[in-house]
Amino acid sequence: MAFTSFLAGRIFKALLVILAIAALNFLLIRLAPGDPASVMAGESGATDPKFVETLRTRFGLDQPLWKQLLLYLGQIVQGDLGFSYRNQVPVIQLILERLPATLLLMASSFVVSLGLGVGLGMLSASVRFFNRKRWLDSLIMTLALICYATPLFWLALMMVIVFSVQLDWLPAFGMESVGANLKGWARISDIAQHLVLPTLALSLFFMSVYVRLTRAAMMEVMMQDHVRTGFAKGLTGGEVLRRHVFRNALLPIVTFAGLQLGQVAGGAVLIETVFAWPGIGRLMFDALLQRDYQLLLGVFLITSATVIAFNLLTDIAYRFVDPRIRMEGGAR
Amino acid sequence: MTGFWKRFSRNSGAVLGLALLVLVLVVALLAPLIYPVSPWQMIGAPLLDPLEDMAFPLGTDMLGRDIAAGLVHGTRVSLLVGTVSTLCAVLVGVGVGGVAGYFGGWIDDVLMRITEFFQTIPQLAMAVVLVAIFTPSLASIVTAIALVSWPPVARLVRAEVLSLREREFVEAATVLGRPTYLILFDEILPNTLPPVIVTATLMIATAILTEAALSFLGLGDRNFMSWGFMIGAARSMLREAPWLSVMPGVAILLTVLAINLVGEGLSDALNPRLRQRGE
Amino acid sequence: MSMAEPVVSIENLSIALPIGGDRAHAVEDVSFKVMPGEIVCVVGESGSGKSVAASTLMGLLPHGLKIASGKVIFAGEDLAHASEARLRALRGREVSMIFQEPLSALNPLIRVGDQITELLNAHGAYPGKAGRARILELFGYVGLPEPERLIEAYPFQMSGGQRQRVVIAMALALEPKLILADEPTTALDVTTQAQVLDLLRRIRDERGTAILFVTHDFGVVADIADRVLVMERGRLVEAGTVEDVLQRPQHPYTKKLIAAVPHLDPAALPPPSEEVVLSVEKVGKTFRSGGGWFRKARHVKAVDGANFTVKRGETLGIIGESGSGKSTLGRSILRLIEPDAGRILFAGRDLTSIPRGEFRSERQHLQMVFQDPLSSLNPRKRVMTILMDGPLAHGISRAEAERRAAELIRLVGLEPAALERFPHEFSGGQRQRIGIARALMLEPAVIVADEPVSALDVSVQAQVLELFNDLQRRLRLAMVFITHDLRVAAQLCHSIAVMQRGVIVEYGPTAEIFADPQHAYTRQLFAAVPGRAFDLSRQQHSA
Repeated sequence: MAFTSFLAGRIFKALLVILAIAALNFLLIRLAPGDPASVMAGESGATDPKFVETLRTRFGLDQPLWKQLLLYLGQIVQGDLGFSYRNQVPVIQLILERLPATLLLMASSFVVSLGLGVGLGMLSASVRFFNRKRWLDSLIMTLALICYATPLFWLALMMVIVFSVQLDWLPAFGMESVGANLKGWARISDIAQHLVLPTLALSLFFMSVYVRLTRAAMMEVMMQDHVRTGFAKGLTGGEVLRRHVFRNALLPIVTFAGLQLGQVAGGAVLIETVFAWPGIGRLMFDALLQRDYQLLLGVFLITSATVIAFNLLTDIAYRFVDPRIRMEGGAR
Repeated sequence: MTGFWKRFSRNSGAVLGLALLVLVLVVALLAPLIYPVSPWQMIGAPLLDPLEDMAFPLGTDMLGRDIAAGLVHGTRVSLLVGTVSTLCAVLVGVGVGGVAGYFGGWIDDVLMRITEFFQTIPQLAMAVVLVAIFTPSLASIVTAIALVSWPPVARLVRAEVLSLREREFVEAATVLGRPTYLILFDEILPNTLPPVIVTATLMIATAILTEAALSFLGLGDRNFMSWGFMIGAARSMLREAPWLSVMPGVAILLTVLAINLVGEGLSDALNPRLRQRGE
Repeated sequence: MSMAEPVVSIENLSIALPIGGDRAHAVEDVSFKVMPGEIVCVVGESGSGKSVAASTLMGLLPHGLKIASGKVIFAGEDLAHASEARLRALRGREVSMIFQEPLSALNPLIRVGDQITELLNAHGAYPGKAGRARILELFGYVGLPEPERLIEAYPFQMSGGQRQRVVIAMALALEPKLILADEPTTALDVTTQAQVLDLLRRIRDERGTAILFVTHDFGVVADIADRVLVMERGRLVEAGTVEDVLQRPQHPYTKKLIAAVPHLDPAALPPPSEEVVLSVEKVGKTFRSGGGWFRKARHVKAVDGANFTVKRGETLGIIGESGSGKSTLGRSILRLIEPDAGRILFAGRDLTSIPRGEFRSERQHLQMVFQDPLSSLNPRKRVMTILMDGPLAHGISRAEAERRAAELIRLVGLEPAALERFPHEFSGGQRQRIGIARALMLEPAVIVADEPVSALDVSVQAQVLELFNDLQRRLRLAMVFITHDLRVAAQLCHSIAVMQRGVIVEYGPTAEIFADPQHAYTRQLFAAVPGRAFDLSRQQHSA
């Protein structure tokens, strides 16, 4: 019961945030230098006065500002994100076509980076805990430091050079082999092969973030008194680590994992651009090239909405990890 | 101060980072002296390999532009955008976090909702949209990066202020009858400085990465040569001339690495207690 | 019992500190024995090495400390050189431990029952259903209400006393020969402390368990110890039966520590004047918490209808346990917390009716001394600045402020050179003196002191109390002294107000209340004061 009201509250809040982002979009359109309709038409439809006129009515430019905002929000609520002149299809349709590819990339990167990051972070903290093989800790932290300083898109290019151009192990572009027309398992394995490089490129940076976070969180817990109690019970170091350190360190990791999602989504724009991955990130890049601002803003809104949905999930996960919040029905 | 340097120099990585950073800084300052000719100038044969012609030690790109000149001039944009945008973000973050933490109540609620809002939005996507709509320029890039990177500072400062506000010396200042602005600016905020400085250092590194990403996507300021732009331009030459994209990337990597190392050193030096607990 | 083997015998133990510390050894050449069924108290001030000596028995020395020499003989076996696996088999089974802070000693994310099960499993004892039965039995024994329910509870759902009982139940689970108790009652209120001490005595009597009890509190020692070990800077300076050490201390350090314990009989103080300076009428404060979109807010009456007056030259003690509302009341007088009911009259004017913006100029008349001498001074400022900030905020000239600072720093017993230093360069007692000087800089009429000596070691505490009495004689302030410690109140206060759950349950002259407490709660508080028997004998000795 407390959970349903919590869930209702969170969903309501998430919807509010999405509306606020839509309002931000509106603000950007209004703040952009020049007549909003011509700005939005950009280069894509500048030569077509009819299209500019459609935009004028769409934004209700002859009406007062607050009515324009309501009009705009109303359209968003109905799922109308505008019309892409260049592609001659509604923006929402373009985005929905491309969304699955992005979700696949984000999900696989999230799992890989979290798995690797938390795993290595645990290893790093553990060798310090037992005061053995400390070189392993140094090695992992150096690796994390370098990954943290590497530009995503450049790493992606380097991977293409090494693994596709030089070694020819993995495909560098697209999500599927062009014209192969594969079915069933063959298709899945083809997609999986295409997925490897983009996922790795996107994961390494976030892996480094999770390594540092996991290590710091665990070292923090190791200082706490209840760890000493664990030893006083006669538990082995491994048991103390497993039951009293790692579990407690999970809390900040879950919180932080959620916060990183926005960054993963941003990174996807770059990665999709490099690997010609047919997701909404690539769509954003195309919209940039074509100055198709309606499409650009649409992608921005949907990307944000995706992140917010993911955040909602981590919020729920958090409740299951921490009994203090679960029991009191409160949120921090 | 001597204690500070002692603790800083105990971290050998930090010293290495500082040396590297000073080098990058010197290069940035002296760029017009080292390469007086604009890095956009097509002054050599196209696609010269590195070391092929010693006039262009790092070679030339497909339009015959000097890669070395590009790298040297690129330091300026990276450092400029990195520091200025971070400075703006820190000012906004400290302001928002300080006010939210100190006054609490509905002010805190409102400011934190806004902060969370900016934090949930995918930062890079938002920066892309901002720069695209306000046309790419140094000003719009700095603004966009500042606008997407202040929330962590605000949260940090708020958390610090919340804990400092409970400290008895702040209550003491109230009891002494010190005015609110002095309590905030003279008692509380100076005590938040160490963690803010560390965070700001790391933010410069992130801002440099973001600027590179924007330039890579074609959203750089075309009046200035930038590393991200060089990588973007070299993309079509991956097969023929991979070094074109390798070198500016290494430049970014080293600069960002240096700043991160310095940041870690500062963290050790400014929070000695934290370090001890971590040992 | 005379021929019994000692449970543990420590021989010439030295423990090395990391190089660069303030001394070479945390513990130096210490020898002692603990016999079965005996409670041995290790007493000392902070930094005496008393906790380190105890943790050696578990093989759980803090990081960086090493046994330099000596033996720890437990059941014929030298634990100083035992393997980690051997120590692990002993921990929890033969030797177990009770910690100071029960909240942090328990894992916040695991149900308390499961945390004890973990101990049983680690030693392969009470397998399956027997484990639960054993825990229920232990919970019953240590006096936890509703064991069936509490076994499923998380630590945050329990009170401090209940948590400490859980920790004690855990320590008892496998019937160890020896329990190490490291300041086990320091974090608890007096009434809870009395119950926990009772429980420990019962464990010794009924189970014959030996207890090594580390404490700084001579009252507790008097109540619980069979034998006493006194430690000073890593050395054992005195050892003997509780009667010998408390009644006939030999070593000067022991004598000093015992003399520093405030007497429980009220001291003779110069009488206050008849002029009422501060008058608190029906003051109340309600806190709301936990309100949200879908939840109802909780209301807690922290202070309810408080009435008292303070005369010039009078010290009023507000006595209470944690959560009694005593600090809230103290802060309400200064409007650090805005009271939401009643009036506070200062020099005839109602302070609560002054708008918040105008109240700042009134603040010079009402000052405060804080509890934590470290956190009450801004770490980034020199003492001179800390002292001068107040006067400067009230438009007093810089020269005058400097003059007062120089005068007051001497008055509180520090050298003028102290003005140029930073807070971290001082000891706890010295910092508290600076805090007192700061409060006096504005020449206030009223001072509220919130537990100003509770964070200090006993010998330092005695000096600071002396300073308070001295200042009161010279400056004739109206002082509100908040404390949980009846001994401290006895030495300082003309009158006391006893608070329980936000309400003043008893208020009157100190001598009258100490001689004949009326309210049941006051009587309970008095009964719980550790070391009352010791006080009686002390009176007889001095008489």
